[in-house]
Amino acid sequence: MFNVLRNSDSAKELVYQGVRLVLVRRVTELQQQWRDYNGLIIDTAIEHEAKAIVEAVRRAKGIESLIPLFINDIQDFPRELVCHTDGFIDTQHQENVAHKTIAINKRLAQIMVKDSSNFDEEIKYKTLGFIYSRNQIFAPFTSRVSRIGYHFPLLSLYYKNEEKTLLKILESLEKQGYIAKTFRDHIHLCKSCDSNYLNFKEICSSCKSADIQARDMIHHFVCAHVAPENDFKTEDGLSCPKCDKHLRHIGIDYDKPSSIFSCNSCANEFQNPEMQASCFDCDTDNTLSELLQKTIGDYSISAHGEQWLFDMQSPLKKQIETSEIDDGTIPISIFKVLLKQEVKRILTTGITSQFVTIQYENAQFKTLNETMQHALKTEIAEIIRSYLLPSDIMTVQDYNLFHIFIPDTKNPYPERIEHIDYNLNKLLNDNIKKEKSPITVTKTALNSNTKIDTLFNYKDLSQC
Amino acid sequence: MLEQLIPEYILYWNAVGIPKFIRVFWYFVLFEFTRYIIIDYVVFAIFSLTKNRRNKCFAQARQALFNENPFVSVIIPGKNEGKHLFKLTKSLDEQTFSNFELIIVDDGSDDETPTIGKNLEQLGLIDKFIRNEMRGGKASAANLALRFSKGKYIVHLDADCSFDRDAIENVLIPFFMDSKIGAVGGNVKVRNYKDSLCAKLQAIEYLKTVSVGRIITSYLGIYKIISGAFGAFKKEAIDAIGGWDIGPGLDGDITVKIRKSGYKVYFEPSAICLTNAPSKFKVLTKQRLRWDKSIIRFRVRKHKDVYFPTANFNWATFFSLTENVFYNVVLDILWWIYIIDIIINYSGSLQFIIPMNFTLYFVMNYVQMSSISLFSERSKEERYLWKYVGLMTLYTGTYLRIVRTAAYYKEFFFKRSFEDPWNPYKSSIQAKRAGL
Ligand SMILES: [Zn+2]
Ligand SMILES: [Zn+2]
Ligand SMILES: [Zn+2]
Repeated sequence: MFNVLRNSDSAKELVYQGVRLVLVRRVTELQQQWRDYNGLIIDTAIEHEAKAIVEAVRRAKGIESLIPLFINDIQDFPRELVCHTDGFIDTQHQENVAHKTIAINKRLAQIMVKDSSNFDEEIKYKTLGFIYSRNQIFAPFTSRVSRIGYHFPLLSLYYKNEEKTLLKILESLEKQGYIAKTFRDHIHLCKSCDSNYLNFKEICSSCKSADIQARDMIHHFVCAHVAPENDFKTEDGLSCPKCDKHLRHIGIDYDKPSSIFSCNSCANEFQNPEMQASCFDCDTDNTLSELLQKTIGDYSISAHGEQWLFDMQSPLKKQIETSEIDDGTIPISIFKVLLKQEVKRILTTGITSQFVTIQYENAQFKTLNETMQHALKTEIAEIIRSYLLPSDIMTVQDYNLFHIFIPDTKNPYPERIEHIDYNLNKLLNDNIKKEKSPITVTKTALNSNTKIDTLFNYKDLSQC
Repeated sequence: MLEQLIPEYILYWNAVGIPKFIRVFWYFVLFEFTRYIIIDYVVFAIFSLTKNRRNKCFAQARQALFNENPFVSVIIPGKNEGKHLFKLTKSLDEQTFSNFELIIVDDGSDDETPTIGKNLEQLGLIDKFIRNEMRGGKASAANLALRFSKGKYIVHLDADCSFDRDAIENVLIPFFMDSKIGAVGGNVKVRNYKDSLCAKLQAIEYLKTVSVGRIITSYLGIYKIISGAFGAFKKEAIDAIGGWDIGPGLDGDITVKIRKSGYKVYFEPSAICLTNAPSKFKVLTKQRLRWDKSIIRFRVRKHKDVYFPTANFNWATFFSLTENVFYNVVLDILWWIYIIDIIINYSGSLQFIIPMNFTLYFVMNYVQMSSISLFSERSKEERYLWKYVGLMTLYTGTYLRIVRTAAYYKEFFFKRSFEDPWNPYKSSIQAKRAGL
């Protein structure tokens, strides 16, 4: 079961095993803080509102826009919208959602954070990131909403009515070896507007009219007369215009060796009509050879594509990936090593990182046995972890002492720490009746002079 | 001294006197000599005398043709002719007369013809490509083409022919010389005469009977077969008779039908078409059996009415068919009678008769070849064939005669042409039942 939490602004939150999801009903609720959650749940029955939320999240800049995004399954939305999300969830019974959220976030965490000012580069980054983080085939699906008849997850949000460009991007990614294609379909597009909404018809080869009619040809054996069936038709059946004989028996008197079209608008008669594809969107008539043929494929990310996502990633984050454990914390020894590296990095690059310590104290906690203390520690760590971004690193020094290291941020007091502070207080206050706040949050900006060991010199507060 | 150089049989015939010579060689003197030598040179004399007038008439008709510039439908019915089509369209592209549509009918081909035809149609090299999935026979394919023809004149071609640049122009000109002309035959020559002896002999034969023979019979108004390889028809004339009837031999049949409907039929020697003749005797034999059977089937049986004084009686038609039947069927029978006559009455002198006969034919063939070169516009190239003319005695006198006799016998007594796989069975059975 998710723990249901309430924020001051009445936004509903779901927390399960340290996974923190927020229910969003309106796009206006989104603002900035959605980046602090592990995932979002669209909780509205209004389609345009849901659509606005999807667009606001997915079209946002950077890798955070690929955050797990679910739809409350009491709602029903078209596939063209659902495809950009991570599907429906049942808010009552959701263990897989937590797993899915963690899995996606883990994969997102592996991706180098990259600030791209070039739009094409950003699209490439997000597309590859999307395919990688979802760890599944990137599969377009047939859709009447799309001009070309196929709708693409994520990309269709960017290229509405510009599907040709969309296909070009996929083609170019494939050509460069970032993604691999499995053939799915051929589509044919109008030469002037790229629409796939075409009417294929047989037309007169002479005047191009579609008002044509096919008729059987009749061969009268005995006199070798051959003509369209019309020539033979009389009131009482078929009779030969050449020899006046009655045609009684097919196969004996006559046969039908072929058929022929006649045009009602120019009287032309022909056996091989031309094919034409008329565009419903722009009224252009295309001959078959004029149609633009494109291939639709299912895509998967290649090793080269994954490498591109990981590249330039600091060695720091690669280590997180390997040492990260289930409760979202790393051993304090490794934490110290990372911290030392970070201070060295600060020395050379001049960036700012933050160090935060969270300590909570209550006399009652001390009475708990070791098993209980461990359970409490895991529970609290999960909650804290659920508010952190994948790039944040946390370690546990004691069951009630947590250190968090936030790389690359100038903000000395990031919003997510505020949330942790607020929510932990709320949680603990709800469970233990006490007037004084049990939580202490200490923030330190890391700089090149920081003495790492001093950061860990904490006294047991209960002894004060 | 001189007498020793001359073979004994010549001396023998020189000694016996003219009456006996005529008695023994009556067949040659009465039929071969009169027809192929005397008539040839008489006609040539008349031709020469009227040359200026005819040239003027031809030039005027040519002018009239180009003034009117009528729309013409060129139709090519056939089975499995796809391989020839591209070359054919290129050959037709070169024509001096160009106001025509090209209609190809594919009569149930089982090769790549449909694909080729459709492609050429799409490329605009063929105006109409019509395919019958089920084969119906040559007549039905030609009729199908006719049904969709829009031209005032129909030019019927074989796909494997090629044409002189002015062939279509020249085949149309006669229609402007005489409005009663309903059909014009082109001059078909053998293109592959270098292939084999068989082809060479046919090339000579074509020159003799097809070219010269038709100039003469056309001049006499009794020209009998418009070749399917190259013929032109007035649309109204051919529509009126319902197009082609079931073959084999439909070329001759439609010529007779046009004549019977009151039109004149003309031969135009300057409308030249080259075709490939069978290069093997086996194939040639099959072809000739088919042609010869059709003489019995059509000229003797189907159109027997022209021999009787009915309402439609026409002397030219009568003579045309009579000449045809006489020179083929009657003379064939007479030849056997001649053989029997010689065996019974002169079996003791065969050593003089046989070489003399060969000598007579040998000489006649060369004299005839001379008359051909007087008419031909390709006489220089045809000189190549001269050394083979001597073999024509064996070819026409023996080989073709035996084939012809066999064909007449089979058709006359057994109506074998109705079993010819040249037509689909479904059509033949109906034609036989209807007595066509
Ligand atoms: Zn269009
Ligand atoms: Zn039309
Ligand atoms: Zn009929």
